[in-house]
Amino acid sequence: MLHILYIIKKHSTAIMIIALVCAATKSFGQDTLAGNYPLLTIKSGNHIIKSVVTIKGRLDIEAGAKIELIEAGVIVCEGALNMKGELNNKIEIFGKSNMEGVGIVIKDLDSNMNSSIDIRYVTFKNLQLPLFFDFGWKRAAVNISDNYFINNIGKVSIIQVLNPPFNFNIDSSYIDFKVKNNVFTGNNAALYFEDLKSDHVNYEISNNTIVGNNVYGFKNYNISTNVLYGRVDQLFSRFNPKIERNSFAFNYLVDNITDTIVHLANFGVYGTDKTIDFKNNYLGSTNKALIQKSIYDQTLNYNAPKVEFEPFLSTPSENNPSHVYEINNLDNSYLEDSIIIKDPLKGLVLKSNTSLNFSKVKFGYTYFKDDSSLKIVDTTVTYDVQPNGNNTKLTITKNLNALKKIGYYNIGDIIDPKGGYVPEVKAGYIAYLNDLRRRKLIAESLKDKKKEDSLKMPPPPADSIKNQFQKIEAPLKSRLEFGLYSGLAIFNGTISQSSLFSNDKNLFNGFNINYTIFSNLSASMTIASFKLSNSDANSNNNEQQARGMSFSTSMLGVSTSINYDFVDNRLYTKARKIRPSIGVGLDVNSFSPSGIYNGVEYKLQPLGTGGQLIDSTKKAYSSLALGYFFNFKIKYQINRFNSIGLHMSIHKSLSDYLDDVGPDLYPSIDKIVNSKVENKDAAIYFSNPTSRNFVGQYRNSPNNAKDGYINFGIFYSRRLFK
Amino acid sequence: MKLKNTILLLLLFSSIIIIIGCSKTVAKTPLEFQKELLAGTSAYLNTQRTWQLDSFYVDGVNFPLTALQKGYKKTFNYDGLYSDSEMNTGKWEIQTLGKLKQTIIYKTTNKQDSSVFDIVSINAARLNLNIKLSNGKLGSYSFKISN
Repeated sequence: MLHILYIIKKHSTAIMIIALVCAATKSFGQDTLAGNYPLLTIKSGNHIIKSVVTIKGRLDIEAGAKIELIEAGVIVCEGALNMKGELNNKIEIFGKSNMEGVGIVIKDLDSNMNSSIDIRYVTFKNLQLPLFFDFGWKRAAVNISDNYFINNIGKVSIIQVLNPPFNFNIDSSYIDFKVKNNVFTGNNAALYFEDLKSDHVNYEISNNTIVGNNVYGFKNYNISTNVLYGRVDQLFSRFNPKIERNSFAFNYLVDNITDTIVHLANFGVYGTDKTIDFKNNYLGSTNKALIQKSIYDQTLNYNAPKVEFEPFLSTPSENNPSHVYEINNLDNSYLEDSIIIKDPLKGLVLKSNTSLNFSKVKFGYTYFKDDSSLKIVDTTVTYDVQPNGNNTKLTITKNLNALKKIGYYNIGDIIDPKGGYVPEVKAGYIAYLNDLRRRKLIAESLKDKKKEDSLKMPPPPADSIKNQFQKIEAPLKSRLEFGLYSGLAIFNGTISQSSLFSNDKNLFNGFNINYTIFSNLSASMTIASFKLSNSDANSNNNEQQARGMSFSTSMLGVSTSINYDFVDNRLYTKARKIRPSIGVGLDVNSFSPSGIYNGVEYKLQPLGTGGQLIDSTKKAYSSLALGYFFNFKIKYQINRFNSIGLHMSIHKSLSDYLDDVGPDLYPSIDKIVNSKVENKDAAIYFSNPTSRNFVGQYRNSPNNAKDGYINFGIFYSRRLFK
Repeated sequence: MKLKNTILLLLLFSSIIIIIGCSKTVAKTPLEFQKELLAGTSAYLNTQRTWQLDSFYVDGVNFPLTALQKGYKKTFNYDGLYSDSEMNTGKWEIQTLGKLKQTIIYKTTNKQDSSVFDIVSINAARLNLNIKLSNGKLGSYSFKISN
């Protein structure tokens, strides 16, 4: 025993650390649920569900449980469901932002005939379909009360109740289905009941706050594009739905395509019955005509039942969850929901069904920055609160938006007397959405215009070398560009001097065909005609001056090159009109150097000025020369088809005889005289024009330079085909 | 306006290119060329040319030269000065194509004399001159370059 105590004492620090880690894991850790469970109790704390979790028997979720549903995450209940949160310790079922999970599915018949669905004090937020009672489900009773359905993103339903599998009129049992005291706000879908009037389900939908929901559909207002809808058939006669003391306000049909508000959308009904009782609800207005606009019934469709909504409540019941049901101007005149707010308001009066707490309110004002772009300015409004019972006056103390662009006010984080959530209030939002749509259309048309201006391909992502060269799907002819080149050619070789621009400058003309291979790669071929000439007399090198040689040659060259274009050549945008490129290529040049002797021009190659023709082992040099070059171009795109630019290319020849002066020893005059050369005088002269002492010297001394030339100038190019 | 500017700029560039690219080098006249062949171009190490007597004919008949005579050299400076291997000095000028006028001050007598040679042919390696001798016969001198 002493030994054990000794061990505990010795390792007490380690034991405490382990205990603390376990406690922290328990407190802050999150539990991932997956697979099938016969029974399941989800306790208070964080839980994650990324897949289908099926509970065959009873599912208990305790107050304080926070369950995050991610993507395919869904809870399937095949038995009883007991979700009992507490007023100040709610259960939260929520979807992960941008990876929203589904929700809870109630399905199948439970073997335990007394099992029920009890959902209280639960927040359903950011889900695709928070509650779905699948076809053929059956439980003893359903109670959905005191819950919050907030900002659920799914466009199918918030709550969707399909029919249970009863045989017609044979089974006398029924389901009490209660939806009471819930808040539905900021959702994108409706509450759907397959058969509101039924022999097997007795619906009671009462004291709910259904405000600020957007039901997505198309421009045509119909039954299903209402925040609450279902069928009322003469086929059933047992239970008429009890839908009363609910508060409907600011619920709209939103067009799926344009994201603009189309219509008020509170209640829709269809079926063979003549009427449905929809009395004693607050329907967003005290104006009967306006209320009628928010209901889809016989008024719009002769085959649908008539909705009996009179008498309606002029204000929502205080027993409903707290909410703002009407927005007025400071003078208590009604603020139209379609108001266009360009001039900032001086204040608002909010009418609510209970008194509200504005101490933590975030009062925002969002407006567009200019006339047509999507740029917005989010501001926080400074204001004074003057409560007066259930009316609250908010006086704005500082006005912004001096440019008077369209905007809207958003009032969030209002809390009810018990600290509960109160739906957000928006003023001017309908006009804001309309203007947003207009701006999106402008942005899209600009984008389309840019696409048209490009070569029908999007620019490649520039973050990878692999993606530098994108394939082009354009037809061959549209990849061709034809150009006319002009400029100057300067020889740089044996008969030249180091200062480039002190050499002779001759006219250069060329015709170019460019073919776009990839997004940033093109090939081109140039046929060029130009002249090269120079004289040692221009040189500032004495040795060259003493040599006294000169030449002139006409060049006809064909060059092919491959070019890297710094700007994607599929695009034509005003922002990228200047397009540089660099390239390398090969030349084939025909040349024929000549010189003037006593006023007569002689071709130098046939004279064998380097002694090529005085020795039978030698032969005259070829007048075709291969070469290579580097080029650089800056193109200015005038429009989609035409461009002009500057070009420069540096050429090196593989022949040393462009200027006729190669690495040959000065030939003997006697040997020239005795050779078969026709114009011996010229040959003697050109072989050594200054008759200098040449013993042991090479004609290309002193510089021994390799021949080449530089072309530069301007060009005009044009795409001939779209 | 922008297009107009672009076109104007293009025209300006084109004009500059054509003006520069098409400027021609003025060719030497035959007279200038003959002078250069005779006396050099005045460029570095090309300020004079020395011609060595190779053969001499009188009325087309070869006049055999001694070794000493074959060592005779004429030097023409580009600036018009003349000298020869016999220490004579003087001036030369070609005012008419093919006519070489020499003014010689003889070293031994200090006497000045002038004569006009016909340049029968000249190239970078050979110079052939004719002159009417005092006996009325035609003397033909053939020189080779000796730089």
